[in-house]
Amino acid sequence: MTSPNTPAETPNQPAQSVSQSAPEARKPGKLQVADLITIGVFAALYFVMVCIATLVSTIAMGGFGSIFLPAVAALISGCVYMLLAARLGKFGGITVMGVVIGLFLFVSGHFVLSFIASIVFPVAADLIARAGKYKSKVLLLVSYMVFSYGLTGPILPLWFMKDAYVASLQARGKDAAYIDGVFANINTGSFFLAMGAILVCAALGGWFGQKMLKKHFVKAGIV
Amino acid sequence: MRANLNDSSVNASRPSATPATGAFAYAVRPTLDPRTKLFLLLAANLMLFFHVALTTQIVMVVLFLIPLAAAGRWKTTLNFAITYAAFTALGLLDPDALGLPWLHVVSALAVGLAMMLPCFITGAYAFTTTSASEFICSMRRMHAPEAVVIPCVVVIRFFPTIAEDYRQIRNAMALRGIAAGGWGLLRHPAQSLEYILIPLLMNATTVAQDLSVAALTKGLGREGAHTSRTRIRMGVLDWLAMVVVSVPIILDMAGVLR
Amino acid sequence: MSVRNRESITDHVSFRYEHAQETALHDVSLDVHQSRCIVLCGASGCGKTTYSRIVNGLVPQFFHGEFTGRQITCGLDASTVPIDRLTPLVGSVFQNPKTQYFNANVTDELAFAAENMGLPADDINRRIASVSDRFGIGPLLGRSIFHLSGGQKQRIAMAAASVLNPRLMVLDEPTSNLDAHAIADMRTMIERMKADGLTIIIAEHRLAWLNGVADRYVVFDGGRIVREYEASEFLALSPGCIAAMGLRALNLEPYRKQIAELERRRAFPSSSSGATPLLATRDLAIGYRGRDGFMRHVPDMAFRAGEITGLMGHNGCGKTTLVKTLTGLVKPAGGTIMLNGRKARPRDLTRAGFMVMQDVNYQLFSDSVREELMIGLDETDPAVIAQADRVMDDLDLTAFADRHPMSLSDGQKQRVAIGSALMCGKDLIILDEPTSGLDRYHMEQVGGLLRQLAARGKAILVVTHDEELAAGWCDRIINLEKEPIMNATNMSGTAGAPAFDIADWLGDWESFEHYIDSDDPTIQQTWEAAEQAVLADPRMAPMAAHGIRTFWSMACATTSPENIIHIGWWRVSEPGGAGAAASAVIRIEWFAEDNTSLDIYDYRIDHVIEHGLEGSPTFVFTTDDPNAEDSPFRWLLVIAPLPSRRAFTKGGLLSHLHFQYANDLATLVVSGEPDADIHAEGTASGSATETLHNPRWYATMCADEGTVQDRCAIIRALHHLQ
Repeated sequence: MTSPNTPAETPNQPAQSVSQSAPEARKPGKLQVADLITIGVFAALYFVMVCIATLVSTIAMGGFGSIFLPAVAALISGCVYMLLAARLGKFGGITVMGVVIGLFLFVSGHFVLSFIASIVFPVAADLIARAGKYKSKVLLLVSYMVFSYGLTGPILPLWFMKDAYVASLQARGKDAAYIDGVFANINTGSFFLAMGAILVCAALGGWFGQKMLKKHFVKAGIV
Repeated sequence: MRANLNDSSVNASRPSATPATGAFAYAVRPTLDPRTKLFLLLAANLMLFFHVALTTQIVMVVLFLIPLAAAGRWKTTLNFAITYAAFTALGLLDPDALGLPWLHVVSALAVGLAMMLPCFITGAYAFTTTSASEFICSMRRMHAPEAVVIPCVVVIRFFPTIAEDYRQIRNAMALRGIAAGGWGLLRHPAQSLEYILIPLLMNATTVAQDLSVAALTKGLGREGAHTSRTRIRMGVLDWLAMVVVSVPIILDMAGVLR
Repeated sequence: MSVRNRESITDHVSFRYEHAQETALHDVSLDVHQSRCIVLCGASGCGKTTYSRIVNGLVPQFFHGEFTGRQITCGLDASTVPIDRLTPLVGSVFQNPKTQYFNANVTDELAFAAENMGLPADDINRRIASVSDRFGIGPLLGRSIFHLSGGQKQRIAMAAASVLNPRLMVLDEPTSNLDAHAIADMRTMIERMKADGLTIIIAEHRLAWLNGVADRYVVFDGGRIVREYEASEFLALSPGCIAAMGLRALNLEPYRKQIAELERRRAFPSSSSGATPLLATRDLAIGYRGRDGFMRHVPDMAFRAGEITGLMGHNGCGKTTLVKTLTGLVKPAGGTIMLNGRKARPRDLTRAGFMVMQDVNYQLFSDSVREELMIGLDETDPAVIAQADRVMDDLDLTAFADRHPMSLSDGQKQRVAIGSALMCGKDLIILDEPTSGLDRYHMEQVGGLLRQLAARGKAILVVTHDEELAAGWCDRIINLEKEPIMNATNMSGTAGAPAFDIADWLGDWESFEHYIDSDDPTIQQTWEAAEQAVLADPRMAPMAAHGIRTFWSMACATTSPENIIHIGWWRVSEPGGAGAAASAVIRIEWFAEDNTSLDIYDYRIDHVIEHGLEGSPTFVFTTDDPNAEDSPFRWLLVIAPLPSRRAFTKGGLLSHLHFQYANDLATLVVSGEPDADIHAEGTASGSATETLHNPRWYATMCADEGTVQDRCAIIRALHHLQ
């Protein structure tokens, strides 16, 4: 498909230079079909990032690795998020992406409450980004950090896990003090560590994403 | 393609003149309606929520494995069964009696994972036995907004091609002598990420445009109902499955099975 | 003529893309009448693609910009009416097979337009059946589109665009990425559409395949229509005139002759210089071993500095694998590759060779051209910087030194990729389809670039379908299609046309379909094992999506559109008896399922297709018996029994053979020459470019003897199990 305004020598080759007038991007208002398709494409990419993050965190830290899953995902997905926000420039894109990811995670067997997280946080992120008209770099970064919490859903079962084991220990007759002793460290400490890690990694990943956006996509004229 | 077709009367005697709709309209392996699969998923999640007793859990896992086996996915069924058995066994260990207190962690892990397994079983069932067409059809039947349906179709369409793109990029990198060798990627992680992600994203934006053009000219943007070539219907088996699966949970909550 | 007869009316349309400086179309007016085939041509950037987008409403509704004038398509105002109103009337097909399908599955893609229009499920399925009959894509239904070849993908695209029975088809360079066979298919599809009364508008660079199909040619230049020609006028223009308009050649014969000449040259690998070739192969076999057993031997080849070699052959014959093997990205399946006279490992090959991929976007990593050239090298070294400047100068890239590579045109990106190869000191440069979709001027530019590189002492290998490029710039040509392929079922080697020996065939043969329905538990178990094996292999898994036995029974049943009868048995004997033709070599008696004798004919060998069923040499039998005039058994394509029946009697695999049959050879075979008379009765052309419509769908006969064990063995062998 011909890119409409690359310089005079414009061969019609199959893989075209990306259209420099992202056709629907600047139209305000509702999400058009082209926007939804763009969201789908980026959701697929984000999903890949999540899969990679799952792999990495499981290998690095065994079963409990999924605590750090959102952090790892946040670290590597900055580019995808920033490019989507820049390309769409309107409300709804980030929300839909979050919802779609949540949907796929739910259908593949993740805990249903994580679906709630994938709606709440992306909506918040979208609102924050909108406040800066999708252009303010600071707000976009904050928005990305909020968005990354959308993946905390799959972690929730871990807390249920702990409760279940506690319940089973109680059933076997261990006393409360003993149980607390076993689990004291694992509980609050790890929780704050995980949440803090997400914040830090999202900041890093988002900053990296914005840098890449400027270095490549703005320079190439795609955004 | 000078497909001289014989008139249909002659073809009537054959199972199907073309394999077009005849062969592919029937399901070789029976699976449940997508909405039933959704119900199963929710049931599995409920189990997690309510900390069901071990007996209930075992019963439910067996119930969940049945449709998976019926769909012909024997290996998966066996894998899940063995994994579950292993985790349950580990969870029943008594670390103190064995004098190994650190085993608590392993036991906790095993119990937790065993709890999550029903979700994964129903998830695997839903994911691997539902065709894209059925998935989309059931979403539309459940009145999901187009704003969610369309991106889902695109994810299904685009996701498999990402692996191929990745391979091309790695080949290109190999030819340039960048990040060669097994651990080459990890030596300069930020740079590797840049080299791999940027072409991937560039390609994604082009593909998004091409897909939009293709879809729009086929009427995706039309207001009004979009139908599906698949017919999904809740049959007797579906209702039965839902009832059977609910029974242990209800009994558990009522305290009968505890 | 009244307005009713014009499917598309363009009335003084001008258009400028948003953010562009120049107008894409300037005051264009054109009427397209019903059932006519109009070809839009012109150099790159002339506006033909933009015009095609105006007809189906993409401009200005998707591609925004300033639009003036009026466009009436099929009675609707295309610029104001929503695109989906035009969908049932206009079918669109685009140039990139990889990105124009929205669904992952063939059947879903066919259903897509109908689903969007809100048609009921019954209607949709009926349309799918009708369209798959019309386009012969029955065997492809239910499969994943990702695994199809480019030609098959385009065929699906054509079918999907026809599902709603549109009145007008708009095609934007549909053959850019296709090989000769797929282009011939495309032509047949268009002829069929014309016969059905559709109006067709095609924007194209490659014009030769449309000779005889197009009714009118419209030449664009700089956004305006320069001239319109009736087909007869246009075809009478001299080649020089055509070239001056920036168009590709209409008559490819001289190019093909030149290519044949260059192919002969490659048979003599030693050049006059006698220097050691840069890269040489010896007994090289490419491919992967294992279950799908795609492996083929390639002729010994040598690449020398300063020479441009062309690599041609239809898609699927192994060009991509060969090129990947030569650059060390894939290990060879056998044989050796030598670099400067010494055996080379894949790692060395990757260091010495470079490939400019068809999609250059995967190869550009930096944010400026200069950076791109210096990736992997020391950027602070002044010698490196100086070299980069030199390379940019040589390739006319200095003006773009600080531009982002992705903002350049495709030709410029190609040069950047080549530049990076030069910087790394690569000596072998391979280009994969560098001129697909290019007009004459840009193709010549690429040719000039190749010469330039060769003059610098690089060895160049160009993989291409483009006859004009190959004939004009290659020093020699290797055509992989003309070399025999070996796959797991006939590894015994079949170089050249096999000799026919009646003793291999004599006896009774039983249809393979009988094994599919067998009650014997051992056989059923073997089927289960085969199914697991096929499902485990991702490439073959789609075949078994509905059970491997279903697949086989469909294969047995759909080999020919006329195959309405289930064949149960054959009895093969020597020809002879009263009135037997002298040239007959075999007598076959056909039996139906219930053992009634259907027909008995003496066949002679008409010719041999080198790459027929499963890529193997295939006998084309025909009978001259006057009783066979309407019989579906008149033409029979069959491969030699494997192994021969004699070999089987000595122990070994059960003999089996694959076959297809039809009343008319053209139903089964497509000739590579687009203007060959494929409707001729009697002898077909027998040229090497002849291929089957469905080389992988056939019925199978097995020798009617042997035990249950033998049958299990053959089932296993056909699925490449041990």
